Amino acid sequence: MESYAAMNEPVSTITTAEAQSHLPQGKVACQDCSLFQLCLPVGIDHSDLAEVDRIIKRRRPIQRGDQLFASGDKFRSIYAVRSGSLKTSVLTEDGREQVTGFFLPGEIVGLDAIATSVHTCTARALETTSVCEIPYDELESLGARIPSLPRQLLRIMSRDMHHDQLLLLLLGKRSADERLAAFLFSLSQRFGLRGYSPNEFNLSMSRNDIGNYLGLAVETVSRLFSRLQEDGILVVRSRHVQLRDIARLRALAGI
Amino acid sequence: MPKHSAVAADLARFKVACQNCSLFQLCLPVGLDRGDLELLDRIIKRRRPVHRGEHLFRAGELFQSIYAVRSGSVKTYTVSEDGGEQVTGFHLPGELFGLDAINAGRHPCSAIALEATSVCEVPFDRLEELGEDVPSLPRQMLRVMSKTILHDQTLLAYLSKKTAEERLAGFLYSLSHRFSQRGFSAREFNLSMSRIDIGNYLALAEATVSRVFTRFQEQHLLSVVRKHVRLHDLDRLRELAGAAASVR
Repeated sequence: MESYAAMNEPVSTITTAEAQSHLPQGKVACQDCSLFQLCLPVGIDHSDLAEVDRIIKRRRPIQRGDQLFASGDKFRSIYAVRSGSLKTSVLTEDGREQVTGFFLPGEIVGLDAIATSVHTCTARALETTSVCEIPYDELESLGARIPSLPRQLLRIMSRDMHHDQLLLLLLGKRSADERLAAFLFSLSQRFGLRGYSPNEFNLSMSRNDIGNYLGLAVETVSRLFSRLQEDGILVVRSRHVQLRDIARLRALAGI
Repeated sequence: MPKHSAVAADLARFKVACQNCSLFQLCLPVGLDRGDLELLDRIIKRRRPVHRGEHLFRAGELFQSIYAVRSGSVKTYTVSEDGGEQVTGFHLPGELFGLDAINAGRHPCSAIALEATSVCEVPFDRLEELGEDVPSLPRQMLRVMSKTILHDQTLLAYLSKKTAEERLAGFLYSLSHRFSQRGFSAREFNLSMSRIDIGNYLALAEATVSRVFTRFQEQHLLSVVRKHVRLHDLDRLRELAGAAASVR
């Protein structure tokens, strides 16, 4: 089948995988950013990159729990995560929160608002997070001169679309342990692509968020973590996860 | 012979250029001027109609083109390792499909006609080339992709939360809205997809889909005879669907 792992395929081959944890926040230009090969400027030449760089606003980091934008806000910009992580969610009619996605460094949030011009979800920082803000009207004008820019954006959106379809498959068909295993395997791959350890990472999202995203009760998520630990597949302490047997995790996820 | 003449009629309809197509305002060429439209028209391949059950592409095949539905309807689906099918979307006239293959270079889904269907095939490398001269083309592509992502996320968001009634109401409301946008009746239409497909898409058992249809009929929300649906109370259907109203 179309494996769940495919949702993590890079937009282009990674040439350097450098650790991100010490990325200076705020000032690094696109061409010096180590997320360059995952993000918007893939395939854009040096001089064009300087132009892209000029429209990007690098803002002060936002704190855990802060909103980047809220559902109903007018759409002005898309945002690339530079460090940290974000959660997007919608409010259901009866006032409950539904998590729609988690975004790691090099991933772009806000793309679903291009067509409607209004944000339909709320994006919130899960930890201290830096983003590059890319004003969309400026990006569109620049795209008329630099055709590889809209091309790359199309590729990113195509990947996101594929990701959503795989998640649909996961939610429609898979058991609780398959869902959690696929989620953890996916995170491991995404961290690996970004130069972090694929074997050991912190979950910036709560058990509640994970359950909400995967359509599982929070008790089920906790129980499954314990079982995975008893089976020697991982060790988990609070938010810190150490994967001991990625091959078995992958097999469990049905990938 | 009757079959032959039907195909001939289809072929005649088939030659219609973008600028004369009634779906023009829903499809790829939104916002293009006449000159640019002709350029786009030149790269589009209008193929002979496909029959019900015929594939337009299969998962794993090399990605070469995106497709716009011209008439009829198309189902996209993936197959899991154990052979289970997951419907990923239903596509009506004026809607594009195949977009999920742009990044990977191979189709992650298969696409099959649900009835006699005509499509416009748009070779993607030529579309990209054309986009360099006609910037409103990639702009419109990005808007179409954005809309699709939004719909997928809405579907995801409610699959794990909503009741069977809410899901089916949302699905029917969305179909009604899409048909009326295309100049068809909002209240009366044929479902080209089977109950099994609908259930698969909405993560419901086939028996549940049938039971909810019956209940809706008892509540005078709609009448249904096999594939033919008549909606009697769109407002209540919408209310019932709640946040799921925009799911497609």
